[in-house]
This record gives sequence, structure tokens and C-alpha cells, in this order.
Amino acid sequence: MAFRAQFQHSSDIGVFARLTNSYCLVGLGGTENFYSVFESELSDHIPVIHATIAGTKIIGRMSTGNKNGLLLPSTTTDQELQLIRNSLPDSIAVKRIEERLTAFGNCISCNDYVALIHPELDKETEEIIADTLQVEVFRQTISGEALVGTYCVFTNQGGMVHPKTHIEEQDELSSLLQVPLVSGTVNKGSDVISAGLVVNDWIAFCGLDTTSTEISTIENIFKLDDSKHPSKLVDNLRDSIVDQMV
Amino acid sequence: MQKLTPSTILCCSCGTPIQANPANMCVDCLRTQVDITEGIPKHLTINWCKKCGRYLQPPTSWVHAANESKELLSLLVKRVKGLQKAKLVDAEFVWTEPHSMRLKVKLTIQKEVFAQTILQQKFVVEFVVQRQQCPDCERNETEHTWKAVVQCRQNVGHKKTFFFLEQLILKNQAHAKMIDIEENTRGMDFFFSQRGDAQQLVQFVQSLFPAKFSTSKRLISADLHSNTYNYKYTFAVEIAPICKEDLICLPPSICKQRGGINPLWLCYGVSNLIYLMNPLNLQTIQINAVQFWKAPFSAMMNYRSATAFFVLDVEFLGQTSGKFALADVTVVRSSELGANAKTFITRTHLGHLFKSGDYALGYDLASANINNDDLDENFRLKLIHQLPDVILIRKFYPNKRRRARKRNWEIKSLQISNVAQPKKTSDSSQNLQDLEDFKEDIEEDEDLRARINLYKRPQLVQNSNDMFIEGDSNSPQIDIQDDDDNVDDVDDIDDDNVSQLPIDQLLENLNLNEDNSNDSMN
Repeated sequence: MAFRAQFQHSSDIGVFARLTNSYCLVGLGGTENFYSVFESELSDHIPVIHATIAGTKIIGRMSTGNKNGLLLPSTTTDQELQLIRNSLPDSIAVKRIEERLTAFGNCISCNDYVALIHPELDKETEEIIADTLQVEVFRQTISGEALVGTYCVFTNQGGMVHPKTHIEEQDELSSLLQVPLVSGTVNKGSDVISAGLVVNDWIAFCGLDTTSTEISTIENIFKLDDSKHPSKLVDNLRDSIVDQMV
Repeated sequence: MQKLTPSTILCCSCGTPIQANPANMCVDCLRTQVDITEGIPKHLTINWCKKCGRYLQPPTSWVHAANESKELLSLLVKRVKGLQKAKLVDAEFVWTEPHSMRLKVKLTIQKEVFAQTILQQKFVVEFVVQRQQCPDCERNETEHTWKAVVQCRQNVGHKKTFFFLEQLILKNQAHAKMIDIEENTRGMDFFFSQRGDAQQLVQFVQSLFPAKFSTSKRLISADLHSNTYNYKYTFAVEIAPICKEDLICLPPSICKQRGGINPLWLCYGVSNLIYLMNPLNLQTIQINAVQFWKAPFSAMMNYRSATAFFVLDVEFLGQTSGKFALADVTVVRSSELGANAKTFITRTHLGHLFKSGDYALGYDLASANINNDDLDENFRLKLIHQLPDVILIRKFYPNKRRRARKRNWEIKSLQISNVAQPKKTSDSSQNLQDLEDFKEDIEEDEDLRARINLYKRPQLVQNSNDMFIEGDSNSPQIDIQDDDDNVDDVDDIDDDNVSQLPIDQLLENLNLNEDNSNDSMN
């Protein structure tokens, strides 16, 4: 399922939220409404946490993560780090990295197995990413843009890239990531995809401006039919068992 | 290098596969989403003066523009507000029925929508043509059409001076700013919409003739609050009543001033100076306008009162001055030619013109009844003891009437809107006679000819060609005519030379309606 949401009056919800398969961070302050959209859909399955990074609520741009870990920039205060650490399950590694480029959300894009990173990130950072998130790391650009985190969003199911990405480049990326990719837009034609879209393996949230065409594209490529939803998964399993028994 | 294929995305609003563009939306959806003509009015009015056919170009100017012309298009496009925000790519007229009082213009504009997406759109703007009288036509409707008038007058019995002035005005384009010209019994009135233009004409006339002028103004309206006054100005220009060939008797005061000169003079030319010559000894003097108007005098006799003489003998005295040569000429009145003719021996400055057998025009002082105060005064003061019997003024060609018919040239004339109604029919025939006299002067006077524009007369050339062809076919009619010509030719050999001006002195006339007139004649 894909849901529309709005942070205050902004449709760029990807700026204010970080969603993975095992947790969700939501920017503190602003509207409680925004938080409750996430809370109502996710709280049954994964923790939804209010957080700030370096005193700002743009946590979606400042952090990156997957089910294995969370990377925070060096500007994160000890208190904030402590809060996030305490709120997340112990199985998730939280790491603060000394790195010149602090907006990890823009520089790194990842699913649970692969990460694309900005070509100018440090070697050490690359290693930390690989260790913490337990992913294979590729230095990549997307249609000439170094900010891979901004112009592409992908999960274990599929991914969406900048609309100007050529077919050949999409094929190359798709073979790296081992997921199908499509070029598309969010928020009624906006090409900054990760700003308008946060997605994990079973649910997506997109900006309020997103049209139904865009939502259907998103649902198709990220395979967000209801069957993938954790609650439906159990039903499906039960149905098949019942079928077998009968 | 590997060729890159651009990817297709779905239009964000309708889902049609398209190539990525800055708006990521298909053209049709963009059109429905944004109207770049928003804020541009589609219905406008434009003001048009029915009388003069001009369009109002705000704020105050009125311009001529033909239907579907470039000028009209630019005028209309300027009226469309809000075009500054977009880029105008094309503009064209959509045909409309002229009587519908509608003008339609199809505009194509480009405008940037979203980021770096330029949309082009065509739309039609309709103009309603509203009638509004322009201030000029408004003014014409009232009696206050003109602001300044130049009233030129010359108190002589003929209008040759004004025919000459007319030609000079035409040649110097001095009539460009005149809004109206009226003819008067003793002169002409020139009307102007600006005072300065009238002043220019006054100066122009003063540079050509010994003239004086006086001005007056009449208050038409006044606005005390804004301190504006609306006047009508009148310039009364009076030209000295002395013309070429006038016989003049100077007042004794002038003779005295100039060192006791002889009072009897013949005017041999008028520019802004009056040129006088003593025909008896070739002495010349000049009188300028200031001197003239300080002590004005009038002509004792003018060319109208001259009589024709027949030259019997010419005896040169050897003295010359310029083209003039002093000679003693023996003449008889041409009316008395034959038996018992009284011969006069007169001294003339025109010796170079005459030979025995010529005709001459001159003042017959012996038989004239002269009524002139200055002359009487001179007689009283014994400055003149006796007048000469005859003073010759020019050569005379007896067969003048044939000349007009043969003329291979013509002059243009000003459009005189309001010719003063002649009181008697003789006045209009007098006018025609004056014009004919003026034309003869042009033929006989090379200096005069040099100062004005003469034009070829195409019809005459054509006619003469026709006659020539018929003459070749030896039709009897032509033979008779030829006989006539031979008879005439005996006594006007010179006349032919005079009436046919050298063709290289004539200008080609531009007649825009020539073809039409020919068609209608045919």
C-alpha cells in the first residue's frame, strides 16, 4: 500500500522521515498529524520514533539505514544518538560517522543488501557503511548526478530512479542492485524522488501532491500489493496451509 | 561510445508514456493545467475616427493604418496588455468583414511554465472598433479650424504677382503646412494650424518681395485657472504695388535724397528689392523694402496701359549695361500703321531686342492722360520739364492667341479651396487674362523661367504626333490647316521660337491618376 502524507505544508516527506524494514524515524515537531500517519500504519510491526539530528528535523536527509543498521552524521549530538539508540532494538547497529559530507540521505541509497554511495565519500566511510549496514557498496552516479540518495529510491523489491536516467544506465544499475528499476516521478512530476517518497518492502509513503498514476507506478515497482503486508502474509500462509489440509 | 536511449516515463497526470521533460507531464496535460494566456485580455476596444480614418494610438496620437497592414498590426499588438510577461512569437490578422467593426488578431506566445518548460499557445484577440472623433476632425467641425492666417495683398490691378508667388510656394514646398488657401480680389489668404508656420511664410514672402507686415491677434478662449489663452493670429502682408515694366515717377523727396536724380524710372525687376532703370541713359537704382515703405509711391503706368508700336528703324548709341543696349528707335503706333502715321523717335534701353519690322510694347505718354500726384509735384517743382513721348517696355508678338494652343508646357497650381466669388463675370475673365499674361511672361523672360518649375504637357505632344501622322497621309483637312499656318508664319517667325520652350527646361510631371483619366476618356 502507498499512502499520501504531508509534513506541515510540504509534500517533501522524504526529507522528514527515514523508513526501513525494521524501524521508522520521523522528524520531531511540526505536525503530529504527520507522525500519526506513520504510527497508525507501522506501529503494529516496527517502532516509529520521533527524533532530531543535529537539532534539525530533516532526519531523512541526514541519516541512512536498513534493517541492519543506522548511520548518523558527525553533527548528531550525544543526546540525540543516545535517544535513537535507546529507542531502536538492540539488533540494529547505530553508528555515528566522521565524514565531510554529512547529508547521508542524499549521498547514500541502500536496501538490505546493496548500497549506492556518492563517489566522493571517504574510503573509511565506505568500509563503515559496508560493515554497519552489511551491504555491498558501489560508488555510483545516476544520470550524471552524484547525489545518488536524492535521485533514486530502492528496496529489496524494486527501485525508482530519476526520470532522465537512460535505459542503459538503468540496466547497469539494475544488475548491480539485483532489483528491477523504473524511471519515474513523485509529487506530480518532481524528479527528486527520495524527497517525495519513503518506502520499505511492504509500505510506501509519498507526498500529498503525488498523482494516482505515480502511486500506481510506485506500487507496481515496489510490489506493494496487499499480499506483501506482514498481516496479510500470515493470512496467505494460513490460507495455503488450509488448502493443503483440505 | 555507447548510444544512450532516453527512458520513457508515465505522464504524472494521465499516465501516457512520454519522454522525460522538465515538467514530467505530457503536453496535453500541461495545456489543461496551465493557461499561459491568463491575464491577457481577449476582448479590447480600439478607437477609430470615421472622418479621417485614423486610429488612436494612446495617449494622444492618431495614425493612419490600412486594413491588415503592418502598422495596424503593431498598433493592435501594442494595445494587448500582459504580453510583456510572455514572448510573442507570431501575430497575424484573422479576416473579418470590414463592416463588422471587429478586428481579430491571432497571437502566438511562448511562456516558461514550471522549471525550464516553455509552452507555446495560439489565441485570438478581438478588437471592437469604436468610433471616436479625433481632435483634428473635431476642430474641423467648428469654425476654429485655423490658428494663424497670412493675408497677402498687393494693390495693383492684376494678379501676376500672386501667380508668381504661387509658383514659388510650389517650388519651395512652402505649402506643406497650409491647411487652407483662399483667393481674394486683391491677394490671397493662407491658413495655418500653427503660428510658427505662418511666420515662416511671412518671412518667405518678405525674402521674395518688398513687403511689410503687421500682426494682430484675437482672443478665442481663455482659461484663467491654468493661465492659458487661445488666440487666432493674423499676419497682414502687403507687397509693394510695383511690378516689372511699371513706369514710375519718384516723389521729389526721394530724388533729393539720392542726389537729385531724375524722377522718371522704369521698373525692370522686382525681388525683395525694386530695380529701377532710366531708359534714357541706362542708369539704375535699387530701392529696398524699408526705403520703399518709408516713402511709398505708386506706378504711373503699368503694362495694361501700354500700346503696341511698330519699329521702323533702330540706331544703336553704343552704350550698354548688362544685357541692355541704348538705342534710338523710330516707331509708329501699330494702329496707325499705313498712311499719315506719326513717327516717334524714342530712346530706349531695349535696343538689343529690336530690329526694324518688329513690334514693341510701350507707354504712349504723348497721348496718355496721366493722373499721378508725384508727377504733378515734380512738374510743380520743375524737376521734370517734359515727358518723353514714348517709352518702350518690351518686344511684342502680335499673334499671341496661337501661342497658348501650341504651348508644350504647363504650370501647377495650389489647391485654392475657396475662390472669392467674382462680383462680375468680367472679374473671372480678368483673372484668366492675368494668368495668360503671366504665362507669356514666363515664355519671354528667361530669368523668371529659371525660378519656377515648368512641366511637360503630355497631351500636346501626343496631339502633335497625331497631326503629324495625318499630315503624312495627305488628308485635305490638314492641307487647309497648313495653308493657314503658312499665312500666319509670315508675321510671327519669332513667335514659334518663344512658345516652344526648350524641352530640357521642362520637368516630367508625376500624375498618379493618368491611367485612369485616359481610360475614362477612352
